[in-house]
Amino acid sequence: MRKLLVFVFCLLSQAAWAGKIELQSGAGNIPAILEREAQYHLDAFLMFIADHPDIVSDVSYMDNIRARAIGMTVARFEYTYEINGRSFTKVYHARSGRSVGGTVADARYGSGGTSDSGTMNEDILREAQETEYYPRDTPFNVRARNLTPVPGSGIVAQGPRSDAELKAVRAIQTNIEDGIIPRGGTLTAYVSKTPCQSCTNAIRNFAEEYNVDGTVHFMIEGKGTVEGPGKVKRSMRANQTFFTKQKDRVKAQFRNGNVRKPTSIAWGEDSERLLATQRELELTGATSTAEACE
Amino acid sequence: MKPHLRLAVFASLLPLSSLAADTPPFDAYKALVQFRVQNHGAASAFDATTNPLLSQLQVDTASPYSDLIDQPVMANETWWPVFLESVPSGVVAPGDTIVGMLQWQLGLTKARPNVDVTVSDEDTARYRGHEAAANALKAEVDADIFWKARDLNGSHFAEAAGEAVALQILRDQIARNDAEDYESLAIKPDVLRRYMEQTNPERVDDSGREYLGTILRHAITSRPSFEDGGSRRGLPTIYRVARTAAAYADADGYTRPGGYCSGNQPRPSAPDTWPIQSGSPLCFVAAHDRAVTAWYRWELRDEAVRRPPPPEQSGLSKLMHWVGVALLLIDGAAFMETIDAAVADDLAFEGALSDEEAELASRRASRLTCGIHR
Repeated sequence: MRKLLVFVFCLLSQAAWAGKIELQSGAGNIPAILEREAQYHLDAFLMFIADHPDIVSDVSYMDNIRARAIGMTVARFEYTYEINGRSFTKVYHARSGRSVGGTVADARYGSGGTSDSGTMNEDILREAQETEYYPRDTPFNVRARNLTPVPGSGIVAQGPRSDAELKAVRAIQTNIEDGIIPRGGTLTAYVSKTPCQSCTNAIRNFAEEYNVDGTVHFMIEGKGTVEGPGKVKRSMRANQTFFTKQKDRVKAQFRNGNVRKPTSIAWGEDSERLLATQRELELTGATSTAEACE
Repeated sequence: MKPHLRLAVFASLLPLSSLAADTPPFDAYKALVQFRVQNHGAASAFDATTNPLLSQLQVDTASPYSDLIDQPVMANETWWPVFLESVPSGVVAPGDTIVGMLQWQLGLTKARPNVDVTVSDEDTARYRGHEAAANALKAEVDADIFWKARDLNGSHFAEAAGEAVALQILRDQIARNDAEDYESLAIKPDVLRRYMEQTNPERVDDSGREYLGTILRHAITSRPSFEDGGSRRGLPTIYRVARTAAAYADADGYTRPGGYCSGNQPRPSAPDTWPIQSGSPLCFVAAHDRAVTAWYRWELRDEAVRRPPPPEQSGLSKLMHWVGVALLLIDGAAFMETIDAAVADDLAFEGALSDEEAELASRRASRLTCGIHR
């Protein structure tokens, strides 16, 4: 914990020279925003394992999957740019970790680490193919997945990495390189944990290479008993709220022997699925959730 | 924009009431749980379930109009005076008691004008009715927000109430935080400004509604701190939403003068079954918050399923469809357990409870909310 705090303080004090993108601790509405983001990624895992009854019925395997789902970092990167004086915002939705299939395969061997279930490049390909688990990409909402580094770019990481921030930055970079969006935009990003050093460097290099301004707001892990400035504590509280709710959601949705496949949704369009859930409750005649459990 | 100009713009988004000195409320239930954890252990502190606790605080738990018990059984326990001594001085307002604060914060109180809620003539004019004002003031929703959300949602009171409370939370966040921190707190004054300037329901932007829905859902399923837009008196968000919807119903009027109330009391013909079995309005000012919330859930279902807005206004339904399931989670049967889990989380963060002890409360709540946890 002490190491993490030292890193956080260094990160915050470095903000001034970290290119044009600052890294700042955040709180307030950020856990609310990321809570919603997290559900997209949990749904992806639920869609995968719901088709594998052997996994769902394996208590130990499910324990490991739950641990990975709870521990994942979630990020939302909003890239705003102007075309002919009109402003557009494209949102990149990202989580840490390998492909859904790769992560589930890794979970067979424990709650952390990776297995020998494929090389990094194989997993990148696999993640690219996992479109059916996620909302369909639209011009302004896309899933940020692992990508190979752009040759000659400074946006690199030490060793094979699958951080949420790195995925998001590389997705924006690739869109810029492909001419889909212009360089020189503004980034507002929210991340559920403190970015690692490697990601911090990648973000800084991205800002410099593509002339991007903005701020990455992250929530700091830690307890309220830790000494620190009020903003740091508030960020820690926000992180704890997010983490507790993530834990509760995972426990409720990833139940041994009972995983319900979520209805497909679009980015930012939870309403249809939730309305379906609501209708389902209507049909069962349940007047309370406790009753609906039985 | 220059800092002083920015502040002037933000100040213009705030009514005078929001600029008045605000102080965080004392969380009576959290203090009680914390005291019980320290003195009796976590297992004992979290062994209360909804019904036994309610029967200590309400005269008739089977009535939506139940009166309150001033002197609950727990106040006769040997530990109670010690608990009262542990409460910081000055946190209990003159005329109030710790038991009264508990009852308010647990949604057991009514909204009778000038009994539970002070209502001036100006308030009555602002909210267009004595009862409407009492309900809306208890919900802590400013009159301009109250009417704007109503205007932009037509007859969909349940939706309007959700939006009104979300907008109020956002306005309170703007008032209670420094403008320079808005970005790092994801507080978006523009969303409030655009909404308040809008006159055409079809032009309320989806991203704004999505943002408001996100804020509201989080506030309903957690215990927002004061600076994050929580209630001035510690009333849980779900009760604020329900009271706002009741205020709309009262402001809309009833075919019979006075509606279901006779003064501050329910008419003999007013619905009085519990749990509530239909969406018939209650005499809202005489009903406790939990009963009003049960009515509100019926109203929400009615709007979402039986009276959906026309397709060209589909944006209207997004906010409450998303929040709808969260509302279902906060149901009557499990509400105490859900609150316990949130309090335990707070205490664990502050180091007053171990993670394992907090887990105890979380497990208990999870058993009751099972697989619908969205």
